Amino acid sequence: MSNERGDDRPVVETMSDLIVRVLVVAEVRLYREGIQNALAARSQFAVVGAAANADEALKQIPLLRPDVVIVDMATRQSLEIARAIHEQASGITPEVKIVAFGVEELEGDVLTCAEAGLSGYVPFDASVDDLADRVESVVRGELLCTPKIAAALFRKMHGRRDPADGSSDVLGLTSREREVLVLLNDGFSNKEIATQLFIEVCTVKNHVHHILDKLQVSSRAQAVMKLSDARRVNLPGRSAR
Amino acid sequence: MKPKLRDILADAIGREPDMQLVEVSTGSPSASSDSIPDVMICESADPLEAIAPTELLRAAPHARVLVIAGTGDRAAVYELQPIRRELSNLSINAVIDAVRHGLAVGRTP
Repeated sequence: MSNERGDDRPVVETMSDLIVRVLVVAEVRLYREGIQNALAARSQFAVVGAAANADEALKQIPLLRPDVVIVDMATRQSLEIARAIHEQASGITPEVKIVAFGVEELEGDVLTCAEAGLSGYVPFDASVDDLADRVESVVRGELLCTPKIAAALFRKMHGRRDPADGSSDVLGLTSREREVLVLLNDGFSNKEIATQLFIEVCTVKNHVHHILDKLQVSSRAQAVMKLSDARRVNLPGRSAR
Repeated sequence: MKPKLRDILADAIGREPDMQLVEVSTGSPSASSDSIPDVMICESADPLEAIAPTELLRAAPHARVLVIAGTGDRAAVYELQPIRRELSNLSINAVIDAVRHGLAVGRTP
């Protein structure tokens, strides 16, 4: 039998339609139970489940159909877990939103969360009240963040325009190689690129090696020049000046 | 103590009918003379090597100190408990030694 939402999600008895169904993912039991209890005490939330890792979460999501999955970033490989939940859950319940709890409010960390497909984040030093506020804002389709983080997101969006201009498609690179090349162009080291993309340094080296091969150049500087050349060709108006 | 851990503990304690949260301190732990609690909870990177319990128990010997790691996966409880050692064949010197050295009396260095 379907519920009011027209699906088979278990119905939680609530006083309001605005109840947010939450799944908590936290490896540490104290935090898992603590977040569960603290949110369950608030009338606007229904904690439908809890998981200690990605496997447990991914098993529960199709059954429980939460509106929001809160991932405690103190959990080992939490970002990978969040990314896996985003990639796999989006095929099952596209409406599910993922919120990272306990993120260092540094540009790089927040941008990494955004790139992993998360809908929001809660800073490392935030209280449970802050968590509740931020989860509600995410459900409303909003993002609560500092002006500094908002500016960083704008800059990132601007930076992403370049790969979308088709210049690096012309170069025959994969999307990941494009990302690496753009970061090379921005002057990032292999280690910094690894941090930005949340991958190992050796993986960055592999990408750089492939980029050099594909572009038939022998240095990173030459690869960056190829990107600049491709951009000049592909950006309308710019080459004509 | 980090707000997340503080709030979770406050929420958990607040649910217990026989417990009362008398104070939430955001600074370094201290046992104020105005309201010495029965239990003090603090956070430390390593609960087994924490310095705070010794100072807190010195100020409030009857209290219990629970030290929780910031990671939330470990904790340690500290309490002061009476320890006795029988002194046999009691002499004046043994009494004086006991006054001077306490439990260490008669122990070989």
